[in-house]
Amino acid sequence: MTRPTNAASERATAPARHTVNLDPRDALRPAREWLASLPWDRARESLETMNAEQLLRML
Amino acid sequence: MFARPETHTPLPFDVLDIDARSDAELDALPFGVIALDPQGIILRYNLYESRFARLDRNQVIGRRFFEEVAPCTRTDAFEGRFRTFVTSDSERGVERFDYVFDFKFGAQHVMVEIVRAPRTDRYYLLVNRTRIEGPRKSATFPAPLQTELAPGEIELGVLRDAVARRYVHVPAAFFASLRTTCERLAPDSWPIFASEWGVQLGRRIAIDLEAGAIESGDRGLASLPMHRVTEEVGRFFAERGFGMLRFDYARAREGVVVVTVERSALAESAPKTTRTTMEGAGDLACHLLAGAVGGIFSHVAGKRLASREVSCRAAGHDTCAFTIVGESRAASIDRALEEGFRGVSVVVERASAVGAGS
Repeated sequence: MTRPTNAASERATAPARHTVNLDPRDALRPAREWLASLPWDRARESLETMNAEQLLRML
Repeated sequence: MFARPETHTPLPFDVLDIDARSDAELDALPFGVIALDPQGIILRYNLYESRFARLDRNQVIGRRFFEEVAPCTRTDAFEGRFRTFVTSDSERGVERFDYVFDFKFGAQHVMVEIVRAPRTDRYYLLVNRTRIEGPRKSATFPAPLQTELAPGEIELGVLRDAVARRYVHVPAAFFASLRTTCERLAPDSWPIFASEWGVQLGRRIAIDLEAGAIESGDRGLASLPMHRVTEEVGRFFAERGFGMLRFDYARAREGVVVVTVERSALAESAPKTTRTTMEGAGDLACHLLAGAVGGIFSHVAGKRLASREVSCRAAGHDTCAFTIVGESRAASIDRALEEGFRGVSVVVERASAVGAGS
């Protein structure tokens, strides 16, 4: 049987999804820099359609 | 002087250590948790499970899980597996399998893990919802509804919403009286108390919104576009009379989301002031809302975000507004506010000037 990858025990053991201390400088720098380079209208459009988790992790 | 707690999130922890976790900690988990004794009596039942099963844990704890609460699990594939796991001498601490919970309101596809809590006679069912469909015709013994588990509640003054959560109606003065009491008993504690209360509330609201998203066929809040999430959050508060929240994430790329509240029930129920400058955070009144939105967004982001109330009509400002930022920017906002309020945009500029992660 294929081992499930979203097991609660795995999420609770480490690192739990809502406690991951991912440094946004590493994971989101490309997105951040890309957005910063866009004219505002295009950037806003991108923000509005961006996956919520991705957007909020920029904070 | 009251200080903000260092952290809200006790995780991660070893799943085999789950029995040592408090009920509040289990309520913060994004999956269902049910603790059973070897006979299958329910000992603990977390918020997530309560929301998805639409059962009030107050009526569930102490009942027989397989016979009374989830008769759809009286099968070899579930109960049989549990009984074998309980009686086995194996050192194996976890057993996993897929299953379908049949409720009268739908079929929930789940992945279940049975965890043996070391040195106790308690067993934990961890329930991951993977998909939800309409009721199955083949369901012979669906789980009971809350109204069947505890009939005649309405005559006893118990109100429930469409997903069986108990609720009470309170006037907006409820919040004003709570604030007055808090300020009398613990002066200066209200801003932090209300903000932390909001964070706790926000985590619970996030579970509601998460459940709603999954029940609507989405994969969850985190995978939705940001505008969908803000619509859901705004609707949640508007439908409950808190006012209209508007979200400005134009500065998200610089690390700041600004939330404004029109006709905030909290601001309007607070003592009125004619001040035009902020003379103390105690004059702000929307900490609860700020904390709640921060708690919801932290859930969606998968990391802790800080919310700070920046301006409030109760303090004589033009608008009720708060900022959501990463923890690295929270201190800059606190400093800006301590120096005196000079406008939301000034606070946002100060926060966005901080380097990400610094």
